[in-house]
This record gives sequence, structure tokens and C-alpha cells, in this order.
Amino acid sequence: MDIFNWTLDPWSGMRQFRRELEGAFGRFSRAAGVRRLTPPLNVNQDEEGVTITAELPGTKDSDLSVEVENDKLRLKVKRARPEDIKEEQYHRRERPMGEFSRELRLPAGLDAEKVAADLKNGVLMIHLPKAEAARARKIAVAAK
Amino acid sequence: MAETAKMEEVKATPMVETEEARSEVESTRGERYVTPVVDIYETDDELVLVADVPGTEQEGIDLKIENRVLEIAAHRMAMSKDEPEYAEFRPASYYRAFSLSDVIDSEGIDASLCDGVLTVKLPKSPKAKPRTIDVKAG
Repeated sequence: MDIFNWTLDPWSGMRQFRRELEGAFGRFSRAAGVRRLTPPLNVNQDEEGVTITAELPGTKDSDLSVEVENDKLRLKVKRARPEDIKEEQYHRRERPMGEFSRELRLPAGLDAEKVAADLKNGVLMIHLPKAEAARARKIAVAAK
Repeated sequence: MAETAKMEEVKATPMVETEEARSEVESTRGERYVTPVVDIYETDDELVLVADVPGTEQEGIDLKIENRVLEIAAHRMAMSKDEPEYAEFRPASYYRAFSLSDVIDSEGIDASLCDGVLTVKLPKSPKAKPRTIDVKAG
């Protein structure tokens, strides 16, 4: 699914996607007290590269898959409640559960081979460094 | 912490679901707080509260009981100062308060944090646990 339309502003496609997402479920809407799993993402960018952050509490490495293929990043998450507790035992069920998959088209100039992800305290950070050629290089000016 | 915080009942009897938006609680510390989402379920022996508080660590959790009110505060560690290029969420710290009925034995409360999920076990006082009653033939 080509979610993002990269123009001069690589993130304009994401804003469009976000508007659609909020229209569809609204980040803060709850149907019958049970929430769908739609973890929001933040993207940071600096000279080193791009970092994508998602809050995924209670998620272990084995529930998560991060794949990079060509210019696409695919994130899959699975979350389930403990199986030994029956529905009628719950007084409240607000935590979002289920399976979630999201695909991002990455901007050019990133080194997909060097993608690294770490998961700590329920926060996932995916680091995508800029490819060497794309980094701004200081050019030494020799005095003559 | 703040007068605007909502108090909720945690009873042994089924509760009515209330519609709440994630609320922002004003804080004197200057941090931004949101209400964490929780699951609450009941077993024969206890009530268990599970809260999503990603980005927090053990040192950042403040659990307090006073006058049968359980206050949960989870402060986020080291927030990045950089503004995201694109943000769908804003990291915040967490706060929520619950009033406990006397079904709960506030002495035995146990809490643990793992992968950004806080689990609080609230044991029921002995008289609140289900007991079978022998029926004598008469």
C-alpha cells in the first residue's frame, strides 16, 4: 500500500495519512470501552539519520517485526491479554489489543542495511542512518 | 496532585463503563500528564489493575494510598528535547487515581513494572472472598 506520497516535503504524505487515520477512528475515541491497537508514530530527523519512535507497552521482541525492503519499512505488532482471564472478570478493558501492521515509505538517502531497532520500557525506536553519500560533508578549504 | 483529577470507584461489583477522553491533568511540577489506559479484572482473591505507562522506569513510579484513594503517578524518564519532524503523539507522564471500596485490603497491595506496563495487585480482604457455605440437612 503506497501510503505516502513523497514530494519535496517527504513528510507531507504522513500528515495526509494521519488526517485519514484520525477521521477513521479518532485517536481518543473508544467504542464500547475496547480500543483498537493503532500505535502512533513519531519521526525525528537529524544529520545522522532518521529515528522512528512508537509506544508499544508490554511488547516483547517476539511480538514485533521490523522489516526494511527497498524503500519500505514495515512494522508489525501483536498484543494479547493473558489467556487465563475470562471476559466476565473484567471491570474495565481500555488497553488496546490485537494485531497491527503499518508500512512507511522511507525518504531517499537512508542506509537501509544499517537499520537498528531497540525496545526499552515499552518504547520502540527504529534508527535509520543516512547513507554516506547523503551526509553533508565538510569540505576542507586549503589556504593558498 | 490536582483537583481536576477524576476519582473512580474500584469495587468488587461490576462497574458501569464510563466514556472518558484521555484527560490532561494540570501539574504543579510543570510536567505534562495524561490518564493512562487500564484494564481492571477480578479473581477470587484480588483485583488486578494493569496500566500502560510506556517510557517509564521503576524509579519513576509513585504509588500512594491515602484515605482509601490509590494514586498512581508514573514519571517519564529523560524526554528527548528534539522536536519531532512528524509527531502523532506527545510523550507525557501518567497520572490516575482510584477510590477503593473496603472490599480491598490496602495493606497487601503489590505493584510491578515490566516493559512499560504497571501491574497493581489489590488483595481482597478475607471477608470479601467467596466462601462456600455448607448446608446441613435438617
